[in-house]
Amino acid sequence: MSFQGVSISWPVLAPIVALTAGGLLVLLVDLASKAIPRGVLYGIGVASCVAAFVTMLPLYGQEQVTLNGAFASDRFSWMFDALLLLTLAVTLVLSSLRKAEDGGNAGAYAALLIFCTIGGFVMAGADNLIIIFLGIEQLSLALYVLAGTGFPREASQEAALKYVLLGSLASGFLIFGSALLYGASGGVSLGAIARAAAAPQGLFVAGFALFLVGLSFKLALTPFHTWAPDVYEGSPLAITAYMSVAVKAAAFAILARVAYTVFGHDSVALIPLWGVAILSMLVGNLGAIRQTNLKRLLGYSSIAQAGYIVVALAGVSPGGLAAMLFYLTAYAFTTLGAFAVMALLGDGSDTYAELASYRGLFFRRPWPAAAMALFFFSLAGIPATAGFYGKVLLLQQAFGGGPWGIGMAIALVFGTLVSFYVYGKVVWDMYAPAEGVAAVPSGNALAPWIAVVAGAAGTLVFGVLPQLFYASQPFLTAAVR
Amino acid sequence: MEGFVATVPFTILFLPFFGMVLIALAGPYVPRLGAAIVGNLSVLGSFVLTAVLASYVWSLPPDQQVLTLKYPPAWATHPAYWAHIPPLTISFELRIDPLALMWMLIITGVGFLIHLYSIGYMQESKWYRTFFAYMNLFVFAMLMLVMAGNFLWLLVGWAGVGLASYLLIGFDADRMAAVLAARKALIMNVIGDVGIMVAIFLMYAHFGSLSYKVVFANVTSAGTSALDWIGIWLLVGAVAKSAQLPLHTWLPDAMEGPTPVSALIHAATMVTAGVYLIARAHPIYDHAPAAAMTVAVIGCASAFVAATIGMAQYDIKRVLAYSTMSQIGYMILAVGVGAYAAGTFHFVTHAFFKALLFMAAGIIIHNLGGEQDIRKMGGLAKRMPFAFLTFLIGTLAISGFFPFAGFFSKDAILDELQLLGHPWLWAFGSITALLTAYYMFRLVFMTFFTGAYRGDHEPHADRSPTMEVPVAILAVLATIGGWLVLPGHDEMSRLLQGAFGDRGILPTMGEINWFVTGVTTFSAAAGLVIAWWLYERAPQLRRRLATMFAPVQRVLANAYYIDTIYHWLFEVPTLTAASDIAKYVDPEGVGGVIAGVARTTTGLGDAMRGWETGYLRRYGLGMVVGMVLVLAYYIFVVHGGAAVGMR
Repeated sequence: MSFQGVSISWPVLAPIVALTAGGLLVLLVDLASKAIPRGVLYGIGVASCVAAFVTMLPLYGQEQVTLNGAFASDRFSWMFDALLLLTLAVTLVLSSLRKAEDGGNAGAYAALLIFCTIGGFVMAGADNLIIIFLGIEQLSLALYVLAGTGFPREASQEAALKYVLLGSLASGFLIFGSALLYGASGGVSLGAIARAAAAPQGLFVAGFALFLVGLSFKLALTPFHTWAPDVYEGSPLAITAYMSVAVKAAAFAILARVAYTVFGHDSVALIPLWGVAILSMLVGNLGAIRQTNLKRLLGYSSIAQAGYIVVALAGVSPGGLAAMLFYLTAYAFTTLGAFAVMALLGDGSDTYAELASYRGLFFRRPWPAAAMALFFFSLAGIPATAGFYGKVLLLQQAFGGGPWGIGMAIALVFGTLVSFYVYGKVVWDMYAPAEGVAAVPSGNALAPWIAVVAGAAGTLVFGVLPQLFYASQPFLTAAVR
Repeated sequence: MEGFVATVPFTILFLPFFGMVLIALAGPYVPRLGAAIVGNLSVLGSFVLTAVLASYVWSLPPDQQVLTLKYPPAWATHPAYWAHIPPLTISFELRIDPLALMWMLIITGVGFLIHLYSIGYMQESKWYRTFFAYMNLFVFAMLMLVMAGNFLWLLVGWAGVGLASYLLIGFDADRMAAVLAARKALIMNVIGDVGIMVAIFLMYAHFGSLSYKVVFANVTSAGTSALDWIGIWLLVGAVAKSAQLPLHTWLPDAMEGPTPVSALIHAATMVTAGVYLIARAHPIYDHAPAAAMTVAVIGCASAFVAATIGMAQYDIKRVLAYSTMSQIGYMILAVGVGAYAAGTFHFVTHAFFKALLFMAAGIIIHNLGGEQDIRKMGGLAKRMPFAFLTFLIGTLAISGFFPFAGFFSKDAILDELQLLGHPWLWAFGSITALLTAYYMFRLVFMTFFTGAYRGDHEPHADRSPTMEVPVAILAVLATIGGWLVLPGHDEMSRLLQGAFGDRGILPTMGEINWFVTGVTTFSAAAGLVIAWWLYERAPQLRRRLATMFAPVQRVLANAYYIDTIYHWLFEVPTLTAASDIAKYVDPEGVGGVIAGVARTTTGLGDAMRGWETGYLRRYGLGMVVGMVLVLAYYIFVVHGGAAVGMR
């Protein structure tokens, strides 16, 4: 089917359509009656995730580019889409818990989360500068609102405002960079840009610099990370979880696609990216040392983790993409699990994010403490967890990346050493007998338990059976065209 | 049979592991006895399956007795490995051969008896369920160690038993001494772990694989000096785990753990892992004469030194600990000179009689309310006849009296030393046999005779069948366990032939070396007579001797002051350096930087907590500065060197 010269393959867009329909349905149901229980709205959201996943299944084996070469549906985008759906479902489950999460506006909140994920889908498939920008903006605009939905708390409003203002600045860089790239290459498709990169003009290099800066903001890479700790701390818990996984995954999809399509091995153009990654690993881990708020600590941690993931691209090799996806998946299970533990323990108030209230947790709630310890071990990269094997794969890529790769490997190892202290201290606190800790909220709802168990299972399975990764490696490696 | 062989080893390995998980998950929801039953049954199940597997393997011809099992299995084409870090490919690999089976039988068999014994012995412990979970963890890790078909998985088991040992030595976490002992054991064992890691790196560098099969098949492709180095680094691991000189000082302290732990981990199984390692790596040591000789000398020296220390100790478990070190010295000596079968044989009999000794001693300690000082015992033969009888059997066995188990295995080792032409090692081994009989009978006389009971409180005589049955079984095994090499009954040789080939043939009673056997028996008898003379017949003479040789006695009682030497050599300088660094370097140095960065960032964050627009501008400024730097790089570096394309 086509109109006005644009060819559209609807099956390719089916997942997006499914999600959109789900989001609209949530809005309509919410509009129809105020008596609808919140659980129903979130249930529709989760159902639309499942529906989107089902519509993805027939696509398997039929890689194609639609919308006149602007939107790709390939193994590369499917993997990211699956990750996004997983994150969306978990976030919806975690959000369904308490009113404080959505500020009492369950319908708008759930719908925005879904629309936000659609932005992520667009980013994962984008093969052209305009689509990239569209995806990023759709994702970001929805997130700006979501960051502020915990609005009775001042911190949430502060987070939203900071996110909006700094995010706009970043979008400015991004769109200006895209414009320059278009000017230099005469096209918006990544293919056209790749051709221009072979003999770059001044306009081109400036454009790419700005583009990279804009993307680095979304990834919270140092020095464009400054918003992250504040926004992570201020946003509602489930949104923080979503930001640390889904936004990163979607932005990495763009970064990887650009790196693989436009640049080759040993490209000088990517050196600033390596530098930014090294800075992120250092700042993220060192900055986490003194944190007293767990959400903020995880904010710094996510800065460091983003730095690690960049290492996967060090050699711009096919194996790198597989390593990146493995690490992202491991990171998703681990991080979502950690946030689920926080959601489980909390009652919607802010005390559950204070590290002090985790002191001696093991003696009050042994299982959540054990799960949290597992997730933190995985974030640190202790063997038998997914995080360990992820780091093994990243290091392998780093060694294929020339001197800058070695530099990143050193930063990765150093950052990991520091992070042993950061995460180890939290675990230590949880397992040390605590006297005089104020009674902390101790929720025990079913929904977050599901997420905790799923996160723990993923963290362990990928840590103990790395051959699962190798089983899918040929599939992933072939995603690089 | 194919399917059986493919699955049973995994079941044997993971049954204790799942037992542990079950105990941990069920936690406080089941009665205490439930945890004990799960622990016991899982280990018993492993033992039964091991017995079945062993009877199958030993029914095969000797040259087919090595089974290799892999996960992913052979039919899995993709991925055909567990992990792949180019160029190293790793599978989860098990190797079942007579050597592994011998260890598996003892680990699960003796392990089960000790689990059974623990039901009663640990009755008063606060952490009853935890104890069984840890014990199961140990059995799992130890099985991993001996069943591994690859040095990497061996290392996993190796570290795992170290962890279990740490947890169990410090099991009474209320007592500082137990915690310190656990820490000491862990540190020394980690030194050993590093040794094995270095050996693994070397093997990887020379053979490109860590699989036993590949390494042993290509062993000659590496030069002698490379093999010597691999052997030496493996020896570092063996020495630490098996408490041999110079890394032995943790073992006496490890007696702070509950007695079943001492019996299972620090006598029968874990501490013999070093012997296993060297026997397992025998193709390497066969081609590494210098390393093998070092092994033998260290074993011999440890056997002798530990025996001398054992003569001057008063804690019943410490004496047994030094005797363990000494007996393992014999085993290490045996595998060092290439008498692999004799070393393995001694491991088997030692597991019987040493577990027996510890558990009999445990009954005494249990009934004396925790008393371990033999100066406060005496005259217990009549009060605890069962403990006396079983302890006596153990003592006769360890001293090497015919026809008890220790006689045959010790004789086999000393025989081999003669045959292979090591007169000096043989001489020291024989002297150690005399010392062994002396200090063990000294223990028997001081505990069970030498007049009346000297303790402070009246011993009670609880009799619990779960404690006495395993001890009785072990007493029988310690008596008849050596008969596998009686004339015409050379079962032991046939059992081990599949693992060591001709090396598996033991000198049997048929080709008896009367000289060696005579000297051994004479040594044991002399030790017995001297102990009897000094403690029963002429105590005045003993006191006179003690005054005459007071300095010697002091040195021995303090175990040659090795602990003190280590304290001044390693502990003090390390702690001084650490506190100096903390005092002078850290605030301004490394820590200063870290603290500074953290302070700066949190300070910035704290400043941001208040709602202050000015600081948002600063964030933006930071971004812009970053952007300018990135832009500058592209314009001046990339574009400046314009000839290069960016692709």
